[in-house]
Amino acid sequence: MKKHLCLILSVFLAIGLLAGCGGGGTDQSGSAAPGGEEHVVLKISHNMDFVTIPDAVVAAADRLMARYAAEGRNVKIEFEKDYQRIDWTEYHNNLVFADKSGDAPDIFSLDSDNIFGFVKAGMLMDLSELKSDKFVDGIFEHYTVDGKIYGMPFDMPVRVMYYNKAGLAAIGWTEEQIAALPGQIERGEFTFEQFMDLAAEVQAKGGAKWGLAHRPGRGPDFLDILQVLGGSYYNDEGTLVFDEAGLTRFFQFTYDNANTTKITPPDLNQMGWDTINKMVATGEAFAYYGPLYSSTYVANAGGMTPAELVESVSFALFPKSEQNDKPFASVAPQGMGISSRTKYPEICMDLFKELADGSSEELAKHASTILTLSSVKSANENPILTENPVLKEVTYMTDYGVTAPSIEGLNTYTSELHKQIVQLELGQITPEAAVKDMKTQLELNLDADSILFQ
Amino acid sequence: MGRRNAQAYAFLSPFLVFVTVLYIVPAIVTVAMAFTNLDSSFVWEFKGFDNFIRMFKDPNTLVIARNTVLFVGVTIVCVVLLDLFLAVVVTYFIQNQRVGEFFKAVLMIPMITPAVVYSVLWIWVLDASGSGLLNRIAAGLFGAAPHNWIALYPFPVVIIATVLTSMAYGTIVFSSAIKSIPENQFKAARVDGASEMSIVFSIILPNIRYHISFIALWEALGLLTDYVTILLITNGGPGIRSEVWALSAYHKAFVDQQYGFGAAISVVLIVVVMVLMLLIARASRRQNEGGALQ
Repeated sequence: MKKHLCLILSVFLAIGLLAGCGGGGTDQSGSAAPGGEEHVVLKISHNMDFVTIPDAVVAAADRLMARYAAEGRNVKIEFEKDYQRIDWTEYHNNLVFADKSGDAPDIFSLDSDNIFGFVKAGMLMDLSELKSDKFVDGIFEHYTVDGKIYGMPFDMPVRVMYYNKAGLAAIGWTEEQIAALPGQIERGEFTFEQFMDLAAEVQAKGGAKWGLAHRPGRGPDFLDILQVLGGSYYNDEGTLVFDEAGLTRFFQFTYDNANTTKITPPDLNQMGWDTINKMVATGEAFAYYGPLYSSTYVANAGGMTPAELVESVSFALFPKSEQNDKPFASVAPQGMGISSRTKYPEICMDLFKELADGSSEELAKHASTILTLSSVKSANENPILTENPVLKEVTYMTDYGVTAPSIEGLNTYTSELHKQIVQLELGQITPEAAVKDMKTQLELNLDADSILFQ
Repeated sequence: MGRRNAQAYAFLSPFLVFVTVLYIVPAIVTVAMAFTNLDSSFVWEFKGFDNFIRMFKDPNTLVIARNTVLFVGVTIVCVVLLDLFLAVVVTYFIQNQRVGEFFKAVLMIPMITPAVVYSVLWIWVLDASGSGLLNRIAAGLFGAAPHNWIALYPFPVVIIATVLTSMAYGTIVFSSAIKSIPENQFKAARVDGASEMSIVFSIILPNIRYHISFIALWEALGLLTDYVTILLITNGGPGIRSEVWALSAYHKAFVDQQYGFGAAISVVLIVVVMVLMLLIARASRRQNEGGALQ
């Protein structure tokens, strides 16, 4: 009897374990309540620090409900928030798996470097009808794949040059001269070559320990310098390009800065973000290139507020150079998409339209909080943004913003690019060898039709 | 007899289900994935042997394979020699059992320390700036300028870090093996006037030779598949100077999001590991046969 009991218990244990493995889906309600009220619960998902992005959507819901009420529709919109701070790859994968199990959020933040994965998986709704002249020109390029728009840009983060005013004062520049520099760069009167000479001079005369710093890991910032030096990484069709001549110039520039002129620390890639941010905040590094919104982190590392930071640090466009005839600021908007599987495509779309039409306050608040310009023109004119001590210095940059399109294979390109940068700065490889190695790796790792070699 | 077997299988069934779901099925899925170009969209498109062809066309494959052999080979030699040395010292030369146990416990510390904590410690010690511990010591003693230790010597750094975390297991196995050697062998050797070194080389080492081969193969398996320490200290760099096979699979899959290609790299690793497991099985069989003869 005991043996039979054991046998039965074991079978139940096995069944129990198997049953335990089965997931229980969450309930996504969308019901018509008594009185004709349509109750809609939208799942909204976001990753990383800038929660003002999804919060703008949530805030827009109140106005949308009021608009629906005026039209005679009784709709109650509620949100189920899922805000995370995890690696973007992990976040991307979680969304894809959630989509495959029918549990994807209705609205979610996009990792803009990898929108192709979402599009290929058929996860995103076509938002092409959103495009209007209310948005900054070209801002949708970043979320356009095969002519269709799959994401709404919520801001216009510009990548710029930072420089330390005290460094210039140390080599004898007057306050007027220092204040005039961004304008000179804007008008093309001060070139990138002159800026680099200036960085070397500040370092040589003791105005800063280092002339130029950059981010410690892989990222799009390096692509800006590639472009300043006349190189390109995409063509007019948004196809990835391997520009051998441009890359050779960029690699030579990188090698020389760390090994010849020594204006960049050779071990910059082994340093942490905090160390580099502190270098920029304290003036240990005279110049730096990266997103303007990094200034919140830079200020924090230096124990300052962003308003205090602009007392010592100023921002400028990437200057024109011998190979690039006009100054520019790179733009990589952050955005959200709508699930193609949402039960409420119309409401989600209306929320996005509401943001573009009448919610400039929310987008301006977001821009002002994270220190970015806005993707919507009216938000760029909102006092919240124009009176921000950091942003008021850079609003003119909207006219110089260059938004890179969504580029298939860019992830692999930047990964290989950074691998070479690390070795070049350590002096472990020559620029020519770096170009050759990068070319070999891109030939092997990317489909022939997703990259052009020129 | 049949009823007893049925009962045993019934008890085992939940665990067999777990092993199947958590180990065997993923292994089969990985093999299938290796023949696809699975990327961040997680759409399965079979591409035949494309990933394997690409792998063998890549000049980096040879460098990574050489790094892996070097990393596993040098680490195993260092680990086994250190294990033997420490086991002999704490078991044979240190007669006081309490003292021996204390040293063994100390050796366990790196092994039980989480890899992240341990790696951060190494990064702090070898930090390229003047605030790194080693650079501070060098500056204090010789007035030396800061040295970028990890970037200049990535391979020795990861080998030393790995050796220190791997020592405890082998030392404890060898120590137990030495304790199991009959005492009369040592007494007979001493009566014959053998020196301590002769005892080590003529009695201890021959008696624990199967344990040595087991530990060497066991460590090889662990080192082939474990990349956490390298990932955290050098991330395989600079370039691919400290990239090993398992880390390369991780980078391709989880950084470049080329899951199909990453799986293909893993499949090659699985084949190598299976060959090593067969060798372990053979070594254990020989050990058992040796034990039976004694």
